[in-house]
Amino acid sequence: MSESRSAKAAEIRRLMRTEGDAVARGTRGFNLGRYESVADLEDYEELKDRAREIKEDAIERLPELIDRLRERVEENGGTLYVAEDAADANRYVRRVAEDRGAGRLVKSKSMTTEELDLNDHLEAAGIDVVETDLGEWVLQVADESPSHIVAPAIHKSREEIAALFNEVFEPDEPLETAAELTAFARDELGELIAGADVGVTGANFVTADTGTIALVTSEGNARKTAVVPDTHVAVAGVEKVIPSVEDLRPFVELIGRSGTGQDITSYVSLLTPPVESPTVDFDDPDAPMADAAAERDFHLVLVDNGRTAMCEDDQLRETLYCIRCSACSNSCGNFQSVGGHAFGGETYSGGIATGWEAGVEGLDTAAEFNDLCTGCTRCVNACPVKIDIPWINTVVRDRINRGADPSAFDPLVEGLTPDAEPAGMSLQKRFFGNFSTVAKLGSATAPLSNWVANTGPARELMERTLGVDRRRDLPAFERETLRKWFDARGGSRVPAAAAAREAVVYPDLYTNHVQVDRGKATVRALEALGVHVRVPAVASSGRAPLSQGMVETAERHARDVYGALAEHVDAGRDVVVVEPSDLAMFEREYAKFLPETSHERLAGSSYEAMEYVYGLLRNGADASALRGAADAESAGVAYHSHCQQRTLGLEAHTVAVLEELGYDVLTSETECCGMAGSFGYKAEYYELSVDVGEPLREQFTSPEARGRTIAASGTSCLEQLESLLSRPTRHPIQLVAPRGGD
Amino acid sequence: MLESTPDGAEQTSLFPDLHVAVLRASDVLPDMGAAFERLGPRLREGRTPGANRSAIIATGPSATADMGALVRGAHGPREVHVVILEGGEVDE
Repeated sequence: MSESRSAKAAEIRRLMRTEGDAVARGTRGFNLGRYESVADLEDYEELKDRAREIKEDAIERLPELIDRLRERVEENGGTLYVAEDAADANRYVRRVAEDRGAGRLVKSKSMTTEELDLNDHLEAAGIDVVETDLGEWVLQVADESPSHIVAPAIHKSREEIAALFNEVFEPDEPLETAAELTAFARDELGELIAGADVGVTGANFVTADTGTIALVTSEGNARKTAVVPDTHVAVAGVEKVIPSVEDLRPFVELIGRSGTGQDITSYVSLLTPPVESPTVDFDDPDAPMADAAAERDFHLVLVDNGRTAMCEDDQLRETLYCIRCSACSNSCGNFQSVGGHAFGGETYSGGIATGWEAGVEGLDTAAEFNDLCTGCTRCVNACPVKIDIPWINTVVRDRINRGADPSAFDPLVEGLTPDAEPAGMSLQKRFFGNFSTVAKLGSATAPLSNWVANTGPARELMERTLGVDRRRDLPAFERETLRKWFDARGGSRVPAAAAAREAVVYPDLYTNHVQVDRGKATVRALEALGVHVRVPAVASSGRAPLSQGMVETAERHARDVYGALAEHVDAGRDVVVVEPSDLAMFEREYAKFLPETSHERLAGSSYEAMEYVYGLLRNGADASALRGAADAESAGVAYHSHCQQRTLGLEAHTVAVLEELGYDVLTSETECCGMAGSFGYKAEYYELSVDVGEPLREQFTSPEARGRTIAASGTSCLEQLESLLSRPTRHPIQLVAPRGGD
Repeated sequence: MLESTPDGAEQTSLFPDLHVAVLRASDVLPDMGAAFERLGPRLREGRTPGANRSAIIATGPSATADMGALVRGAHGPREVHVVILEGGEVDE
């Protein structure tokens, strides 16, 4: 393994060991909470659409909204300052604090001030800065950085926090329980807040019609930070401005549910500073508060720091819709295993962090962790503003590839790889991105290719040059591809004239070269239901290059695939896709590559194999023509759907068909198996991919799963499950297709 | 919905361990949508001097999960009671 790969693997291993358990417990809890909480929302989809609409509109006319907001804030008696960059913002806040003669400044949680490194800047000026959010305070005491955008200390267990506090503060009685730790922190921080001169808060939203700062919190520290000191500075990115108070509604409904699975937080503070509340004199507790003269000063600092450029960037703009709820972190298999210290940049973490870090810090920072997004899409439906987070990760990966050192040009590789990508990109990405070439060669020379590839020296060479981990079994290429088999048997057994429908089984890369049996089973199952089947020559979908960030190459595949399938679609033939990640290409990414009408025609005619069987049965096909549980090795099935298949809402169809045929189905509770195409093969990520699959292994080896046939829809999932469980696996179509000679 | 008033209503609901809110039944709204329908005009009108232009939507005791488990009673009250007055007139 190369030095940089083994260093990366070692760092991931260290974080999994030291922080992984606490992060997994926290994020999986939030993620389950999200499912339960949004299930109670009748108008969940409408709220997401509305939230998206508001953000699109606000970013579109941001300059106008900022002008209106400035008028309001000034009318209210405050000051609005738009800071160009971090240095500008820090200078301004420092000047406010110094003008106030501030000795101590208290803060409530704000990721934007983390982005600015505001604390360091103020402390260098001799100002005592105290974080009052309990999680942030723990990190301030421990001198660590946030590992999660909502729960910053999620990587620390209660035991670790107790040990830290007992060591640093030496309380009379050692602290132990969460309640004791909280009470201790409340008392300590309460005094520090009482004696503070300036309070700094963030803002979840700022309404342009009133100059109101919306803070979504539960601890109550933001309220204290804003109203106890007489000087309040709110710091927020320019993208937080929305038109009106009424526009807050969908966000308030969605943000807690999407993030931590809370229906609503304890407080949604709508502060229009300077607030009317009197200041509190803690030195004279008997004086009525109402007698205190409320001489309050308020500054709203809106931070640009790269955001205007992001508005102009057609691909990164969506990032600005982000409301930082953390759903994309919590729903992400890789994040659940490593947390934000690995899956994050200077400030932000999780899937959307690639967009933020690329826009705010630059591509180099994004490049450090961007690979950890595998494109599984489990965050897509979880995002309350419907950001296509995997797409942002892909685009940034493409930009990183293109920015790579062109002096690394290798004429041999350049000549062999039929892609449209720049010379400098990593050999590993290029290998996996051109997997279609590898597969064709592999089948043509099988079984020799499989035998050679699996020898010790070959694996060592592959690990060293391509970063393919030698602990991972390689896919075994079949000499007879699906298309060859189909031609050899003389085409479809159901004549077109006698057929109820006609369908094209798309010979995706894996079904055609590796998992050929599931392709044969698909043909047999469809024919049993009266479908005339064709298996034409069609290019691979472009999923492999896309996952490596090779966008231009993927686009070329999309055009080739459409060219080959358009005539079939026009002839009224359905397109049946076995590999869910390829169907997801047709449905999702092709929208970006093809003209709208072409995309709609192809996507509208394409079906996942079991979804298609489901549709045939619903439309009157005879289920008894299929194989049922009575004729199976086991009537019990443990089924792991594919991540992208779930995002498309197609898990239920497989389960319904299996149940209709008498199977008893146990479904997996894991978002993604961890394999994610090439990811689990990469030497630097192999151990992480195994760790992500651990909950799946646990569930499928539990007593509940004993004796069940293991089924999965994706090639990657099948490979991961076989290696995790050391048991044979099946595609569900293989459980329902009639047994056949050919 | 707790308004920020010059007599310190907001702080009164924040600093003590126990917060008791008393409200009219007629002020109970069906959902968040209705709350924002009412809040919008109120906060906009609030720009006239003397009116209240800040409010806290409070839903229960303060809470945190930052110390390794959910704890009620973080920086704000530990316990919240809401007393609803049905019928009759209530003095402001």
